[in-house]
Amino acid sequence: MPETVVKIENLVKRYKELIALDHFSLEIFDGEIFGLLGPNGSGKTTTINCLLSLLAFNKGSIEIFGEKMKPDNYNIKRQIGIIMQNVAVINELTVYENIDYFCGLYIRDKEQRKKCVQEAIEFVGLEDFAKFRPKKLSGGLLRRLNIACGIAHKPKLIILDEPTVAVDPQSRNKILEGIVELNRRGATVIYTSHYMEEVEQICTQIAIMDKGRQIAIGTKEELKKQIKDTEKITVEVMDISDEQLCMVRELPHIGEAVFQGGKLCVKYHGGKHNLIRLLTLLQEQEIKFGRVFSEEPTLNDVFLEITGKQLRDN
Amino acid sequence: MFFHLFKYEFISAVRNTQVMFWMIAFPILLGTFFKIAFADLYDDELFKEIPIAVVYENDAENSAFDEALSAVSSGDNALFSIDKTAIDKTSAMGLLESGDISGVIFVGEDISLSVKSESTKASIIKFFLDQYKMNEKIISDTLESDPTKLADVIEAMNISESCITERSFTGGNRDPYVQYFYNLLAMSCLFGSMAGLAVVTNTQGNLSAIGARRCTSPIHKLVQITAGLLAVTLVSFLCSAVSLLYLIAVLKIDFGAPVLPLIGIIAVGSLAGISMGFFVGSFGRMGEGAKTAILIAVSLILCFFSGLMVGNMYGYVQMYAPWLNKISLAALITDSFYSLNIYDTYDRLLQNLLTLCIISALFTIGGFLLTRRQKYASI
Amino acid sequence: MRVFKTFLKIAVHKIPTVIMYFVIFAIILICTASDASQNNEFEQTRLVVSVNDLDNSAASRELAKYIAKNHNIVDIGTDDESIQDALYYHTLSYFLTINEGFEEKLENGETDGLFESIKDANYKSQYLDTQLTEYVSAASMFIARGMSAQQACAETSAASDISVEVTVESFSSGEALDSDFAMFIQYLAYVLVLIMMLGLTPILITFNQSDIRRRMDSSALPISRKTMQLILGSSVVTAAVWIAFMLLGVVCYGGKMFTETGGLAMLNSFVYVIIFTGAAVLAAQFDLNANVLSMVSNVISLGMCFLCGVFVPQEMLGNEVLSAAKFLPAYWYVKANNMLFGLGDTAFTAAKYMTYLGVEMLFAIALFTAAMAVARTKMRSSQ
Repeated sequence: MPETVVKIENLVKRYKELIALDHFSLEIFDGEIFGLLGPNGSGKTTTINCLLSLLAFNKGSIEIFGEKMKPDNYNIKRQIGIIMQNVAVINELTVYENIDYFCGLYIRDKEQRKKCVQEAIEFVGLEDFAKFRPKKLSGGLLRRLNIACGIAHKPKLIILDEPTVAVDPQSRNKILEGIVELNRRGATVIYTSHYMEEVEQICTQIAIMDKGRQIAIGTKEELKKQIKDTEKITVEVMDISDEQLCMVRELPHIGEAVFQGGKLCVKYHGGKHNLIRLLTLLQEQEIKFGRVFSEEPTLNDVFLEITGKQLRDN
Repeated sequence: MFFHLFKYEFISAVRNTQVMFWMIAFPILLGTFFKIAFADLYDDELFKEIPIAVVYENDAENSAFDEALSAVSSGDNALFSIDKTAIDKTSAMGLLESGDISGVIFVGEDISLSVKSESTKASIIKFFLDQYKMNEKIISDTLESDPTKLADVIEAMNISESCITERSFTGGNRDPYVQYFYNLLAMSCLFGSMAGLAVVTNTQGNLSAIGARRCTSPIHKLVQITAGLLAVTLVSFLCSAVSLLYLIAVLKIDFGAPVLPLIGIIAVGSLAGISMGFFVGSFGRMGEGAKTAILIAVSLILCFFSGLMVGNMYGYVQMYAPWLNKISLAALITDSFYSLNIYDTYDRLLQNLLTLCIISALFTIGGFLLTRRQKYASI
Repeated sequence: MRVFKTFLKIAVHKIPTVIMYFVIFAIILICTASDASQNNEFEQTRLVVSVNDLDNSAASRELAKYIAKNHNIVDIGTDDESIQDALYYHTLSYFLTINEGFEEKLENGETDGLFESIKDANYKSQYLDTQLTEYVSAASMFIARGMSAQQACAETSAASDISVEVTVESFSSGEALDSDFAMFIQYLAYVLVLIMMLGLTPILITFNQSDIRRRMDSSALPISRKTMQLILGSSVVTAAVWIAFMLLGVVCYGGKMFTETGGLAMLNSFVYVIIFTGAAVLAAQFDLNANVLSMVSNVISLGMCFLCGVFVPQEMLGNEVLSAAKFLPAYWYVKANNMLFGLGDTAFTAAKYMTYLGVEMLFAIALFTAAMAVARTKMRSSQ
């Protein structure tokens, strides 16, 4: 069993009437890329701010590296790298100076710091922009600078709060690869996002939040097992009679089968070799079919299943 | 560590164009405007012979008046200078209208005066004429009632001016327009409060993203704030010092004191300005825009009451609300320059500087008390 | 009228800034509105004098009474520091000490060292110097006729009622108006610039931001209609600002606003405010942020007003300054105002007054033309 890095127990945070965190608990282990997934306003950032002792909370306890987190627990703070949702850089300083400034808050030694800053610049690929002021950077580059400022001191725990909001795909991939790389080098990562694809892509452990509560936790496979629909197969067919449709529905593990607009859509509850079985049936019945799509369920389906609503509006 | 923080706070303040504009460019520009506008004002106030014209109506003659007038129109202490180009009423009135002369004396049956506006100059001319008529009357009365004493009376009339001995204070530049430049520097110091405000905004987790980010770093907030305040105080001081040197070296303003003590006043003034900004910045979650507005309004109002816009405002405040001059940062800075210029002793200067230091200390302590909280109810 | 309505909505957000300047201006106006009023009756200048009577004799008291009749007496104490401060800040013009033995010396015909004065060497102190000397001279004449010092002083005070006839030649439009009102109109030159630049420009900038402009230009609303609505909005704001200040004038100066002179002064300020509507429109063509705008407005308003004689009378500015100032609108505004109220060198004629206003209109036309040219260029370059 790996070591516990972060332990949140029964956290409650109230803003007057609104309950932002409702008995929220979480445990994060060493070496994980922990994804905190949830729609906007679900309490992700509030959790992070409580974790960092920026926000006062009403109830609960937070431990990091086995110690109680307090605003003046500098021992813990020194080992955390934080990349905030809002870009927090100093507009008057250049890219290099910004990284050096933030790195200098953690590392006193000048030589060591110089090395760290250089590495961080290379890591986020801002070598050509070292002398630029933040105002001259595009949105994606600015986000990368924000990340460099957070990780230059090589923290053991890295917290990224929505680091890819409003970032072009190229920068986004660079950022995601970087996070995996940081994890590979030994850092534990907490990653919040409302983009399920990103979380699915990189996170080893995922917690889904809604309305300040944790509604599901596990690896993405574990999460997907929690829902009934495990597979969705769509086949383009010219025509299918009602009788034939009934035959499809009688196949094993079938949850639902609908024919609409030239597409046969079949959902399964578990089972193996579902696709072969379906296609065999179609062939036997001499039904002509075109393209075939097989989709695994996404985290969105998980969220939909649990809350009855979409993770994102789109 | 402290130096690291200090260095970057300093660099970012120096590179902040807004701070630089208000603390250097604006005072220098305004100082230049002052210089242009006030260049000749003081000289204008200093007494010079009053130019007048005399018009004799209908070829009238009045030798006694001519004598009396020429007596006060010649010599070192001459009161008037008579413009001889005015030969008739039309030309004299032309000169009066264009402002070349201050009054036209008409000598006819009687003596009368035309002036352009009520002014001290006009009053002096009028008084001279009144006095001439009075003397004339006394002499004619004497001639009527007591002719034997006439010689004595006429002799008594011609007394010398030595009945008044003048006592003047030593040292200093008595040009009251210099006080506009005192105020300019006071304003420059007080505008430093904007930089003090920025320090709080950028270190408070609930005021800015950068503040939140800094709160998560392993450096105590007090250390960060202190480094920030010292850095911007230095920047503000350097800015005001540059403004001061510009006033002295380029605009040739005579502050009546050597540069070094002037720089000292600037240093204390900058400290006061920054601490005011720090204190105001520490008030809760009021928007930065509102705080900036408060600081600008307070700075300008204090400067108004110490004479930035109306020169003798300090004097009026001294008459009607002397307590304000004792606590207003602008008045204290202005008065420090003034007392350094005018007085030989340093009591008043030191008292002003001490008050400034105490106010700065109170602001700073207040600011620290308000910002010491490390967790926020909301961000 | 969508654009127009939005324009007014944004304008409402700018109101706090405008009100702040309006209130500060009003306060300063009220603070400085205590200057003596002017009329065609000649009144002699009254100085602020402090008298320290060390002799305290019948004669010296008589003299003190005489001074009090002609001047305003204040008691500021006798310590050097207070005297020095009061002189420096012009809350005192003259500190007079009547030396001990004044009466005795006067009676004996000695006039040396009767008084000690502390003063600055200016016209005012010269005025009192002259008065004192002449007083002593007159008193000596009475003493020479055989009076006691006290009698002589009383006699001199009484005789000082003799007065020559003084005419204040009026070169102004002829109506008696106090200088406060003239100053009010004059200071408008400063505050109107600031308010137009800080109030109107940001609203127009909102509509001129390239994104918003492109979005609006691609909408069904014809550009000419949009421009018309913006012009309408700007006119409403301009008129509102101007009317607010005129109302302030009515509150402070009442009926004086509605005399012929007042009307002409209002006309002048109206032309002036239009110039700076033009300036605001021009400034709005550049994508300035609030900070830069505030810097630019402050420098322009203060610089122009100092150079053009708004704060310091034009006649006291150097000739070089004035010839440079001719290229700035405030110069003509102040020149017209000075002439109207008889403060300058030029006698008032309606024709000249209208000429000055015409020059101001030229500035307005130039600024609007420049604004249009910039807008055209920008539109072309963005296409």
